[in-house]
Amino acid sequence: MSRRDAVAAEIPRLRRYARALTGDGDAADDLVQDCLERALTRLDQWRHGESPRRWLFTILHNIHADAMRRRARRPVHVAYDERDARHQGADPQTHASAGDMDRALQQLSEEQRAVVLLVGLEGLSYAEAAAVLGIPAGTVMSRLARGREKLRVLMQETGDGRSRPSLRRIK
Amino acid sequence: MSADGFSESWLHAYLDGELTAADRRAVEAWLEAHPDIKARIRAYRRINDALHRSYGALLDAPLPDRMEETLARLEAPSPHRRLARLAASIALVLAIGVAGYGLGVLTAHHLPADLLPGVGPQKPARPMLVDRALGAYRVYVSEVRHPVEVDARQEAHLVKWLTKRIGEPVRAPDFRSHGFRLVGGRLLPDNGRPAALFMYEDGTGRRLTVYLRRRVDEPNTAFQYVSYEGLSAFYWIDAPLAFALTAELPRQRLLRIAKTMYEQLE
Repeated sequence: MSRRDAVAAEIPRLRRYARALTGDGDAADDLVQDCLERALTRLDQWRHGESPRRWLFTILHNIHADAMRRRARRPVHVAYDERDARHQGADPQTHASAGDMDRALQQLSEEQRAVVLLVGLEGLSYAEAAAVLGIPAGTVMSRLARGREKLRVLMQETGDGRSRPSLRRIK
Repeated sequence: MSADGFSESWLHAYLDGELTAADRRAVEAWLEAHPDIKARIRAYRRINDALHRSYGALLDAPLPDRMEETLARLEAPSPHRRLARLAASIALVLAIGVAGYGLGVLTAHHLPADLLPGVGPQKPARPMLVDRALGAYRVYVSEVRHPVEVDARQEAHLVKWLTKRIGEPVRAPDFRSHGFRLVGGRLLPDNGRPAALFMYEDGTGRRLTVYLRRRVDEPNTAFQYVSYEGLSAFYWIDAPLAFALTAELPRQRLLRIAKTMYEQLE
């Protein structure tokens, strides 16, 4: 597989992860684009013959974490109604239930969300997730347990997680 | 711990297929006796299913044009066109330079630099630049108490001062992604003209320097490499400035740092 094809094969997964992580299709694609641009300047860090998955997810995580740190220094306050409206906007590339899932995921901490998605959606092993996030495997496991439990409580009333999770209950 | 048995982490490890077959069987047997926890594991599994349902469509979505364009650049031999050209020149210079000019430096380093032989079609632009840079490295890197005149805490002042003295915008490259932080810098004389030296240090105390001054009459060049008495240097001329990056590092490692510097100063 050529270098291009190996990277191209990872992009759909990067987009899916970024979409679930940010809850916003445009922000997600900006993140993936930045990731690809940075990857281009760091090709020497990718050992040849290896799957670029871990390498690309690590780059994407680092860019996202930097952006989150900048945002933390300059907080943007979004009214709850406004956020709701944004999620209800048409997003043809995701399932109709993505809005519900977005809302539930946004209730998790940034750290919990990343772990829940890397393991539960992208199927990374604990060791891979730990490498991508630059944290010990034990921390992956504790964040995963807390994040999943919170999601479970959020979705409890619906029974199968398919319909709208009741957000008020956890306030 | 959950109830009387396995820790939360074990339950998740079971769900995520991180357990050995024997451990998995042990957890399964235990879950049979604990239907409430078994139901909770099922709920976690449904969360994974819901995640795939919600976002799975992106796996088949066409890529945006800008991503396709970026991918196309991957097929070039090197990340940037300019860097690609540089890389090609490096190969050329190494091929003919190691045999010609490289040996010339090694055997005749004590001769005035201007007398050194050229490198075939790609004449080395002022080896004097490299002599000065290597000299500055040797003199100042071993300095414990006064390695720099202005330290990194006053980086803004340092950069402003050196910019004024060099007469061109000067910046201290950021090598933190390579593990080197700025120590500071100083002004140096270079054949009667001002030159700037930035010094960096990694966590182990290893140092590298960036030497730069205005280009005199040299043509622009690609990266060129010199190794001498354990020191490695990459140098290049990119009007209006001439640069030399020096360290005791393997060539490939130093090349990566040089590329970072080149990109930042672009």
